[in-house]
Amino acid sequence: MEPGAVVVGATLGPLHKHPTMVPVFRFSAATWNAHLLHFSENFAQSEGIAKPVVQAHLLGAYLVQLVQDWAGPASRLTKISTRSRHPVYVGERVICQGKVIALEGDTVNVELTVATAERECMTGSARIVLPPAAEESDV
Amino acid sequence: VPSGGAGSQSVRFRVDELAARRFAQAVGDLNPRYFDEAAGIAPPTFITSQTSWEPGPLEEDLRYDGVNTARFPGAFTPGRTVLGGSQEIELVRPVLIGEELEVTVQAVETYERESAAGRLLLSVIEARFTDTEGKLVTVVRDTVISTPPAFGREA
Repeated sequence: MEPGAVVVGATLGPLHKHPTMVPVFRFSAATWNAHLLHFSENFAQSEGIAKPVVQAHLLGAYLVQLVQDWAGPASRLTKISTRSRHPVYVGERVICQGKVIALEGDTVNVELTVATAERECMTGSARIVLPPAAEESDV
Repeated sequence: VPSGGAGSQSVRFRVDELAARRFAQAVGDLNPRYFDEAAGIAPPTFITSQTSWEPGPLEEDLRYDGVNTARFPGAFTPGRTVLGGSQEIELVRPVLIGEELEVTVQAVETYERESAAGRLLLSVIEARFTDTEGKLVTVVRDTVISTPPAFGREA
């Protein structure tokens, strides 16, 4: 992706993810996160929550993947912010999407969402620096 | 761990190749820059998503719900469930696999907010990562939500 190829309003994704208990457990292991809320239904219900909840940091990592895959290997993610709006329960399918909201020089600002079929669960934004456009050949 | 000021703590750690790549696998993000030996770049949120940058804590030092309360100092109230609220990450430069970093964690702010489920306690915790030259690499601000005891319970 190069700056000249991006327009405000361009969309990112969708990136489909299905955080079942296996990836949720592996993410807990990879982040040394033993919070029972992410893998024990009995514990979740004892806390008044219907089902185990997907880690907000895992949803955020999905958004990083969405942005970087869209922007390409020579781009650089310089900022990302996320806000949880509603829990994603383990086993729910989510769709990650984004939209370009501003473009200034080689810097792109995007807004981001993670949603299930029923509700928006996370919103966010990111800033990406794109590589300079390839110089035209003198030939 | 050495103290860096009121309510702060600093830890030195190395960005482990195997752990970083397992993080990417757990996310399902097989970006070549994480797996290419020449690139040697860690997933951007690998270091910011960790609940500890040390081998511990000991199991008996975890809260009853398995949470490492030291990761989010001041954010925990007995009897309240904790949830990830928001996260703001500034990535000054890519994190390199194998490099040594120092992280300093500090409570920034705690405030309350009314919600449909009751009064929420929100704690903002900042973690700053610097390299061996003392240069800033990444800053993350997590807002952790402590919910009322009955949060999420359906009537």
